[in-house]
Amino acid sequence: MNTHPTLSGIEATVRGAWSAGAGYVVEYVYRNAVTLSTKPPLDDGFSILRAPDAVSCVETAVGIAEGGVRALALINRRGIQSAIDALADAAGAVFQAGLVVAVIEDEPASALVADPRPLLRAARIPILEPAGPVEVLSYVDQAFRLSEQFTIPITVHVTRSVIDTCAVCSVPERRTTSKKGISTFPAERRTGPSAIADIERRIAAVETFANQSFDLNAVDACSPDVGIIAAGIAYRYAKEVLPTASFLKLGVVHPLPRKMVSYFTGFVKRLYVIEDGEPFIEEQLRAAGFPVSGRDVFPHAGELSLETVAKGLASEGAFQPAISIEPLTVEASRHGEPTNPAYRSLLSALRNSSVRIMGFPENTHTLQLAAEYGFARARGKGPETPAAMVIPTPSRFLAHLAVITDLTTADIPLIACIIDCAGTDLPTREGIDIRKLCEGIGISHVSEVPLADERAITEAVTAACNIRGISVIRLVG
Amino acid sequence: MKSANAIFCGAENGALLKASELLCLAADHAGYDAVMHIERGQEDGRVSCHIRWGEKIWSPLIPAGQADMLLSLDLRETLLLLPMLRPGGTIIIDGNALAGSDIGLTGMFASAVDRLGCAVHKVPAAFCAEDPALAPASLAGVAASFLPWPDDVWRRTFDALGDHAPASVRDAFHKGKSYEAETLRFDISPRFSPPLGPTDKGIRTFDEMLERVRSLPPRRVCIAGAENRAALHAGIECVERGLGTPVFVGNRETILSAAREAFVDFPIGDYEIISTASEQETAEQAVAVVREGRADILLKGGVNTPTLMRAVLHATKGLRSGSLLSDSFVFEFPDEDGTRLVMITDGGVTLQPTIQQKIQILRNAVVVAHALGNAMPRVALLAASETINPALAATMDAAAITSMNRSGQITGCIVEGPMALDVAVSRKAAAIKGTDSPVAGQADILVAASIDTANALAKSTTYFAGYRLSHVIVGGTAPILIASRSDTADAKLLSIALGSLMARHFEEQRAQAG
Repeated sequence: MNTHPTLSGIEATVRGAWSAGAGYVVEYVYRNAVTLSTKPPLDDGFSILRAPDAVSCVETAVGIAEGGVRALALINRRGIQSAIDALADAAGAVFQAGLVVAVIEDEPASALVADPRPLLRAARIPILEPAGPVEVLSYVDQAFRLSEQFTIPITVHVTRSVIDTCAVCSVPERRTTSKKGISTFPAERRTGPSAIADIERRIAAVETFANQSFDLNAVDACSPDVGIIAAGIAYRYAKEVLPTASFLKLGVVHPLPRKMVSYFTGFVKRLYVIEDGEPFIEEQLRAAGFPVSGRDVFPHAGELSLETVAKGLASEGAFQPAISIEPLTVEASRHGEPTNPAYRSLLSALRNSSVRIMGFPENTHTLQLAAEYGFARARGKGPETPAAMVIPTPSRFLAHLAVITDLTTADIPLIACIIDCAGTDLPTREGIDIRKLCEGIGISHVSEVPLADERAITEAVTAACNIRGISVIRLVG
Repeated sequence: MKSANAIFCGAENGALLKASELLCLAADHAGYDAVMHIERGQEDGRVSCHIRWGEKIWSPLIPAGQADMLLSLDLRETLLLLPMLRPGGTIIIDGNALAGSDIGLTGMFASAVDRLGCAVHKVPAAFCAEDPALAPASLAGVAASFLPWPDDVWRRTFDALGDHAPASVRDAFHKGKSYEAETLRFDISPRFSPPLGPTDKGIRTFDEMLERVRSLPPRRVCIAGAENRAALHAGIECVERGLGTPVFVGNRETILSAAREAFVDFPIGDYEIISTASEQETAEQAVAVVREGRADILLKGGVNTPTLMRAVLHATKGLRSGSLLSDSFVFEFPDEDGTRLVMITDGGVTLQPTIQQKIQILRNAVVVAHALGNAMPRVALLAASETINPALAATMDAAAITSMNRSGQITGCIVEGPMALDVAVSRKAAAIKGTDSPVAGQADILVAASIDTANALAKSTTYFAGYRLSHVIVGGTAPILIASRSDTADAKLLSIALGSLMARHFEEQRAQAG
């Protein structure tokens, strides 16, 4: 084994493919794997190709694997949405060498894009979910083995929290794999409905494997009172908060190893599911008849946080909080991060008021969406429900005054929620009065509420829902 | 799980990430589990790196209010991150960051720091690199001067970084390190134990064990129900073999008459006798003697086992330590490499252990192995075969416990399972079956799936193979010896010797714990 300096989640993904003997990484991500792969330098016989789009990324990797060389498709969340048809076709392919698809959430905003796991399940592709760079390294290697053993592409889902975590990794020497040679178009390859029975058989075989795999899954048998099923970063958060609980850490989240879950539920009294993103595991467990608590105890939008886990477990009386479960004070709120408590309060208030959220504080796209929505409705073509846009800072609001001015003509309630943190943003520090500015462009309804006060936010949203045209809620901290 | 936590913040650039990586890597070289997490602000190009180290780190993110140290190159970011700092935490800030900030921010910082009671170190320019690209390395050097790690750790860290830390970075780091701050103390210990030599297996035979016990100060053995002739004999043997001093508990008259009748030459009057009127009182008094430290070992004599165990397990007046009690059998096993001591557990207390109970049983047996001088025993979790089968709970339990050992949640031993008996104790069988494991063929502890298996397996060593056997109940605050009525005199003597070693081990552990 060669020990190397710290690797991030994305570096470990590329490095894992290298050590597994892959010949190619085909990437369609924001952060360029070519630069990442320089730590440590990769050798000849390992190439990184940059695909022009998500579909090309998947199909190129499929072609390489069918040709007998191990290939890793490195693709971001958005790319999965575009390439899902290509992935569904790939599930029916007959590979000469392993094909691994690493789903990379390579920017904070990707937490806002739909969780890719339901799509991957629909495409009938098994999903592994590592909890840190060390696991990423080993999961990518195992994914290649599984792909070849069960003749199916394997996904490694690397969430944003894992991508941005670094750890010291021991990278195995590069495995030598001989190119198996391209075969003629395999007669067995079938796509479409005729392939489904075959693919289902492969998925069932992966589940049988997962039920017996304590390399990918792990059981921590501690307290019999509380059992927690978690995957990925959620496992590490939950372990931090309540290390004395019993844990089933799922490395294989699809197909779900139901017999292992059944074994785990046999020695714990209360069962919780904690997961980052959508309640993907929870819904599968409920469908299989397991009595679990999940999102009802750990409500969150977007990324999971330590505080959400701590608050949920404390509310259940499962432990005495060892970490702070109060939302961070405004001083700690950070611009633009979808995980902070202010956004969660705002999201919760908007959802409770049945307001249509036109995107999230990400970029100008949010405002454009709202503008189009407003204009469409003004022409009598849009839905009737009120809509809201969330603007992360007053300076963003200022930067897009033109778009916002256009929205004043809309004939449905449109709400602009401006997050204004701690006076650190430029317009506030320079004393620009948002209220007067709004009045100047024809927005008469402007309210101010404390940033973390969910009740006050809800009241302000309810009031704004009754006003035609645009109104502004400034969330001040 | 204790950890030390630092946050390094400033404008996002490669230098800051590299400096954070340097601290993370150094923590790894210092023997800790170390992890680093990058939190990026979306808007303004600022970043905070969470760096954590300790025996085992779970969350890569530092929980709010638990950062010990905040390293900052940017005042505004420091203000945002103040709630992450624990009360009384340390802020190390590049003096240039303060000098270049507007008065409003500086004022907010001063009042916030005052409110939180933080120690603030404004690092003078003399310790900071002039080149902004090297400022993070300088600040990492200043942080290093707060950390209790020897220079060798930093040297090895830079060696590992190689070309990723060029001379300019090293110079900037050492400039910062000359700050020579007062070293902060973190109440955490490295995860790594000192490496063990291949011969570090401790006592290998019962004769060695008896020799070892004789070289130690004699222990006081409390015999519950000493009216029984066999129990009385055990006490006398203790004295005659130099293993310990008996404290007899039972009906005084009966004890004296039994001694006068069967052991005429033994000066029973020289030893303490605690007189009791009933069997229950005998059990309670014997347990009280051990609990109060007037004896080191509890030995069952004529008193009934359930009565004694009720007294032992009493919530307030018993010998409970919070752990499960379990019976560990030790026998001499002549394997391919010569004779060694092998343990079988639990053959006497828990009927059908759950997985949690198996872990406690395993931990108890590991304590016995440590008392016998085997610092890293190899543990085999027995099953019918090495295949994991969800239909067989024993194989699932074994695999789960093995993975807990590998992830550092069960320490002080090497665990492997599920494993069949032949693979566990015979290298030849392991080789034939192709089992590649550090435990295969060399198991020191055999953990059975149920009391039936463990009890039968342990007794078969004596009855089928004629091996010498001893056993001790562990998991309480003192070793408990419950001899079977059919145990040979040799087995009883060996059990007392084993109990003596255990008592000595407990004493050392208590001394270490302060």
